Amino acid sequence: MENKERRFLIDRIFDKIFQLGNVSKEDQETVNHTLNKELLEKPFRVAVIGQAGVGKSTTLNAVFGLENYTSNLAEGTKEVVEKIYPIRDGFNLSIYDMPGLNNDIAKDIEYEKLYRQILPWCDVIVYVVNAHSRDFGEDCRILKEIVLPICNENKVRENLILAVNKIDTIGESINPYDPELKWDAFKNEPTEKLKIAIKKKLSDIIDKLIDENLIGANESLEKHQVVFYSAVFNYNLRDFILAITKAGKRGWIWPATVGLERVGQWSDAKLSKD
Amino acid sequence: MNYEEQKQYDNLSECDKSYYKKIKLDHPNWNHRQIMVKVAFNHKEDDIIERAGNDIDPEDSEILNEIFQGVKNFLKRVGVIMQNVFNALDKLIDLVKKGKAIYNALSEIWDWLTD
Repeated sequence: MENKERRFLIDRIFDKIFQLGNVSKEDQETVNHTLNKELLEKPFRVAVIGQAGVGKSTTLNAVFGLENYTSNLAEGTKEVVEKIYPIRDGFNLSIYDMPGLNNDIAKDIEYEKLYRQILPWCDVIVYVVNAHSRDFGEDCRILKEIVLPICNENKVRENLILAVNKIDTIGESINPYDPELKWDAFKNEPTEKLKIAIKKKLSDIIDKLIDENLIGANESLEKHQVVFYSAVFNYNLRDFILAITKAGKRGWIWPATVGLERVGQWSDAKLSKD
Repeated sequence: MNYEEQKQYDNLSECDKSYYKKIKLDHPNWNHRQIMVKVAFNHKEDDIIERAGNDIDPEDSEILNEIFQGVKNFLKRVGVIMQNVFNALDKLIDLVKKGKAIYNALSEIWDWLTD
């Protein structure tokens, strides 16, 4: 075991800790064995929930480094298939791509059943919404009445991330013809005018989440569990990775294995700086 | 405001106190906790706008800190408790919290262990 190739960030860090902490070979074996079991015997399970068009696929590609993931949920899906992606050296990522609810009582009941079956077993539950969606009120209702109660009942509230995607397109929802409100794709950042629009929109979203008791109330989400980002531009994925790292008991596994390097690979921001 | 809430309010910067007052006026039905959340998010909104375009730093101290905490809790949960490992992890967590990069932090642990 002590001669095994060091594969992940966490292996390299522990090598150093063992060396510096003067840890006996026997104890090193025990820690390595325990960590290996945790990393390799169970996949890292992610459930992603969202309406069509909110950017579930781009989110999975950007945050989890799945190059060509496409969400192909059929209308009226009643089953959710676990898709397992062998990431590296025996470490697997498992994705449950789940339909969003859509104010349809019959479907809501079916989907709620699916959520109840699957969410309690996931290490991270990502609920994706569009930053400028007109359905945001409906998303709040689903979170408040269905998703959050399921998470609370099953003691997995810490695993939930409210992922507010497409902050780059907030300006277009205000005035699609105003170039000052378009994302600066070369610098990979908002223009000054767009910054103001984004700040106002984020502030409105926070107000709504507070009003709906989704944050700032008992059994609600913590600040780090609400993430604003753009999957297309890899913008603010750092907050996303932090939220994953803080998620429940196993969130740390993703960045400790391949999470940080995978996000780095996909960074457009890095390219534009060179 | 009760005593605890007053203490939290007193610990805010002058700028945040003004913002707190503004929010209280704008949302008279919100309680102290809700207003404090709004104040905290105000900083987050600024961070997103001003700094979010930067690449993820593989030595991001907050992320590393969470990784170490996660590992530590995991080892405790499965009953693998080795004092040397925990001491080293605690020291690392402490240094990383202070914003020291991981390689500097590891070298400081070395100094600490060999003192």
